[in-house]
Amino acid sequence: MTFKVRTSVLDNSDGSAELTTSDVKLIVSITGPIEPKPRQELPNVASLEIVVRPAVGLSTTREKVLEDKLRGMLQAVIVRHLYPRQLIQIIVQIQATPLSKHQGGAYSNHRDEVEYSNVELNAAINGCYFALVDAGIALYSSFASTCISITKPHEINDNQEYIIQPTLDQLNNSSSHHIICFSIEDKKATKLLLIDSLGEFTEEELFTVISKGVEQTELLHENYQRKYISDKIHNDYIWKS
Amino acid sequence: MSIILPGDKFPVSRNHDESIDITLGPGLYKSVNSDTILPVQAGIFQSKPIKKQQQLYYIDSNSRRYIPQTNDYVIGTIVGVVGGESYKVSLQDFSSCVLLSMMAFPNATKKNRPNLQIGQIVYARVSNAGNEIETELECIDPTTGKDGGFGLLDESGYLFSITNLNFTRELLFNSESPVLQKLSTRCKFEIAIGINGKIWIKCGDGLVINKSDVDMDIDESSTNNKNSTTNISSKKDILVTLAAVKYLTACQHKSPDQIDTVLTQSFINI
Repeated sequence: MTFKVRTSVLDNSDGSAELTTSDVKLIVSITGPIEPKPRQELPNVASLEIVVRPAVGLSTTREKVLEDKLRGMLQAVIVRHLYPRQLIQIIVQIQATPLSKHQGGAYSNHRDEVEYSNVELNAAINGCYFALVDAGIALYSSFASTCISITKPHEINDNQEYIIQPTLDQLNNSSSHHIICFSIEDKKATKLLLIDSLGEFTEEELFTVISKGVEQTELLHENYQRKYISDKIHNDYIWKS
Repeated sequence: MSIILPGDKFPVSRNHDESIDITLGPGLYKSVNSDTILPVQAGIFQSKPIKKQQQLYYIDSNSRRYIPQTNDYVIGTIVGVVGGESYKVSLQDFSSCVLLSMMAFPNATKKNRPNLQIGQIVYARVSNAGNEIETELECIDPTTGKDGGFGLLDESGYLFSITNLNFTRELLFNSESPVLQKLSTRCKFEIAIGINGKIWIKCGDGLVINKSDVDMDIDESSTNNKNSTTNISSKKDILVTLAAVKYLTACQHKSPDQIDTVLTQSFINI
């Protein structure tokens, strides 16, 4: 699994992160807390403006759905009443998706195999975490997200496999895939912040996926988030002797 | 250096019987519902005793957006007048503007008001800040009632921005920081550091504007600029100022042992 992060990549925004996973590449930019337009202002908490831009073309209803899912999740982790009547602007620019990679950089019209995949949402959540930390926005907890797919039942023995961070081919051969995002307190996954599933699955399968999600998000936090953030802090204080 | 992330456990165990008061600084948050202290920012955990029986905890972290706090020293641009009583001051692009009362100047009275124009910059102290009230600045040293170095920063200096606010804090608060000490080996300078990421600097006499220069630019076309009476020492001061700006901007990304090379590189043509 590749998981690369660069923070503070954009000079003119208050926080930014570029996330590259095996399939998806995106940049998240945060500006805030800034002065909102009067219609965005909320009396006792910060308002969030979330924009998701696709790799190619204009944003569609699909991007709006992504924005809404992100909003629901981020509202639960940002300490919003520390910034009343302020605006936090979060922009996710997707640069490459698994589909665009296979089709020469463009969405094709006949999406006969995977019609939609949620792996962008997974990457967007992880990207938002690094960008929010880079911007110094107050968070109740850390959070991490992972993607798990369940393969189609085997013809002979009915066996199903759980694949962590599936590739496009693995997604094509799956019966369902799930995005699981956990809040992480003191290195332990605590609250389930978001779960988003596509495909056919049973209740039992979903519970297995969630328990695997706990494991995976804790690993992600331990192996990647801590490492990249301590690198970032060392870099911020490079002038300190 | 102990690094802490949002949601981590507060690293100090507390006994309620002990009579040590805790003061929480930036990056730590006591939740309203429970008694737990939560780190909400990623950074370096610091703890310092401030008084007897009182301990300060905070998280030192970098940010690029300035949030006003009482007693901060800032540089602001005048962007307007509110109600004939206060100036509207911008501390950072897109942030909410703050107020600077016309009475918050030394010797100011109803009849004797300061005369500041839109676009001029001031060095000021945040006198009142909080989430629920409008932030206010003042240009008086509260202990003496005199200007104390606050007030209008004139046009002979140069204003520039430092994006990393932790570096401006270092420049302002750490008197042992080698950055400014090394700069002083190269030139004589006057500096005003605002921890909102703005720095005003003037090397030597800075930019000297003669009345005659300004008149000439208006009367004759700009072709005469080369022959204008801008004296050579002023030109040199401007070059030195720009070199100092280049040096300070570069220093925020360099380690202490690289400072000397950056200094030589910035002052290479002077």
